[in-house]
Amino acid sequence: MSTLLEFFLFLKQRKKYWLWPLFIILIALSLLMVLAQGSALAPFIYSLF
Amino acid sequence: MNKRRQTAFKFIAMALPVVLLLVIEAVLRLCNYGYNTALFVKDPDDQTSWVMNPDASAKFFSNPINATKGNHERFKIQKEPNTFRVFVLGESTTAGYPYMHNGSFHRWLQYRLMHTFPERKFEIINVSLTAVNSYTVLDFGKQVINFKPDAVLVYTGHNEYYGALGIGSTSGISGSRFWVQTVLKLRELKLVQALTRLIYNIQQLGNKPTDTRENLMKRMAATQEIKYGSVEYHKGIDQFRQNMDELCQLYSDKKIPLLISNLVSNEKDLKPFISGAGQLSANTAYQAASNVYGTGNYPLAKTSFKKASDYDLLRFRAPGKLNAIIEQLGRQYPGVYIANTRKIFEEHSPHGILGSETLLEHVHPNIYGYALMSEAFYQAMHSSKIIRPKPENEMSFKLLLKQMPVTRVDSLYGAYQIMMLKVGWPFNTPIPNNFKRGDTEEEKIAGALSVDRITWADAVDQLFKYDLKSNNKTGALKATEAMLLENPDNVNYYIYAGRLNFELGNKPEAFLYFAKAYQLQPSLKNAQNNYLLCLKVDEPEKALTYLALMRSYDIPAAQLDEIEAQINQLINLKQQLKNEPLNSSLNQQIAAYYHRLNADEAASIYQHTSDNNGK
Repeated sequence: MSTLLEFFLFLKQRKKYWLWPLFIILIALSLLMVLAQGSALAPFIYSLF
Repeated sequence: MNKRRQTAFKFIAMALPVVLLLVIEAVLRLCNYGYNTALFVKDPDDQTSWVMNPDASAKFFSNPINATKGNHERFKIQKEPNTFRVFVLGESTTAGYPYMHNGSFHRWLQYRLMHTFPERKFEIINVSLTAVNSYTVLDFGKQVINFKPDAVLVYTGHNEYYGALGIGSTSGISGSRFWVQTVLKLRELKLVQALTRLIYNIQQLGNKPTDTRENLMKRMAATQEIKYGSVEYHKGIDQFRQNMDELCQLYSDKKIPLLISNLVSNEKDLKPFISGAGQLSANTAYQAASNVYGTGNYPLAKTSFKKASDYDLLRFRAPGKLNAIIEQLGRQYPGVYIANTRKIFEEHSPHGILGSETLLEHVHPNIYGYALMSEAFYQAMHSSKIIRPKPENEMSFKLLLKQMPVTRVDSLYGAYQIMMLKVGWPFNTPIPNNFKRGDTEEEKIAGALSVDRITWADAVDQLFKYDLKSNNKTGALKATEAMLLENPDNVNYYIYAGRLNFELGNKPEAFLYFAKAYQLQPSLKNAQNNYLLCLKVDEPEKALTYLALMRSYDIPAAQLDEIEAQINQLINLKQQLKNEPLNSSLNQQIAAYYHRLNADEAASIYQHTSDNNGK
């Protein structure tokens, strides 16, 4: 129990080890999804192809 | 805290983000969040069959709401013996736009194969979608391998630039195959689906009201022009080559026949959409081609028309280079065959130059064009020995054209769709002032279908009822066969088609459909139908085969023995009649047997002969 508590305290103090990577992963994924967005007009011309 | 413990904590902390994301992914999956990206799902109406997942294409579109939907063609999870399973991959032309349903080339092929190989079951499942390109074809191609295909047919290439994830349709990652494929993989994750939704909602918060369609089109024209020979132009070609290469390699390795068609597009009857100036002016090339065509120098005209298409800045028609790639694939990979659609179109076009005789607008064939496309695939299947038809059983292309159940409603519906399409950008062709939809029943039904007031199945049903009411059995048969092709597992349509063919005097067709009904559902009722048909068309020997099948059902053996004895008597009498064709007594006896066996139609043949002999 004390080890777990100690680990939580560690996480609270050393956010750079876990919180930042989490943000970075999520931001990278979001950026990639934004970059991969199709042109907004594609649905309007579907019948052309 | 000791150093060892601290190091351990660091490692655990560093692994925590991954664990957290995995937990979120698992929770989202448990909650059934987002969409399923598998190509096939169990049919909700028939748990023994697969059907195309309506969400299968969602991952190719940045907003899944815009994803196009495919056909609902089910096939058995347990592939039945004697089944030949074909998957069809591609874009709107492959799906049969604007007719869809039986206008599509795969249905022409299905109808022909059913007639040429009556004893086999053909499952032709079309998973094509509008607005997609070789990325989707490759992805679906990888998935269909797991569903025991005997052959896979492909027609793709016209959407390489503006189709989903094409070089002209995405902003940031266009042209990078690696990133496109990474995004496709990531979009399979529920977490990424949630993130995409969040981004979309945030973007919507700050958005002004959406532009009108017209404005969007103009913006497209301004920003999506792709010049011949430009970096984007080559990127599109490379993207197609790499995707198709991977697909061919895969099928060649797995030894599954892959048939790829070369591409057709309108050459002479479509002005370039957008033209540049100078040496690469599409309009200049088109004008020159038209002039040369007028002088009768057709080979030169063809070359110039092709140039005009290649120089067109709006790449709704595939560059000629893609056909060269397709032909190269056929030479390079064992087990990859080319369906030469282009050659067949050229053979059926004046002076070998493609135009409105076979195509509706820039790329989509008319009904005749779809028939030709099916002929190209049929020939490719034949020449590659994927199918080996017996010449005496083979349905000719001429007969296919005559019999194919594409109704007048289908062709009118297609014409209305194209008329409406051409009103908008980039055609901008208004509906002629003098256009007035006619008042025939077919025109009324096609009109209602065009504005989505009724479904295609409703339209065929209305047509069937109308034809029956007006005693047009040929029309009613066409409508029945149309529904049969749409629902190849529904036995009732085979029985209707068999009956109507019998009433119309089409003996072989009646036999085919009743036999198919028994093949699909080997029941007493279907065995009886076949037995009775054999008697009604004066073929008692064949009737014995079905009588034997009837013995496996719950009918008293004595009753069947008696019938068998009567049929044998009938056969003997017919033998005797061969030697004495004018013997009235024999004719009367045969007629009497047929009456007793409820085959009045056959009885009337002999009754009639007997009456004539007596006169």
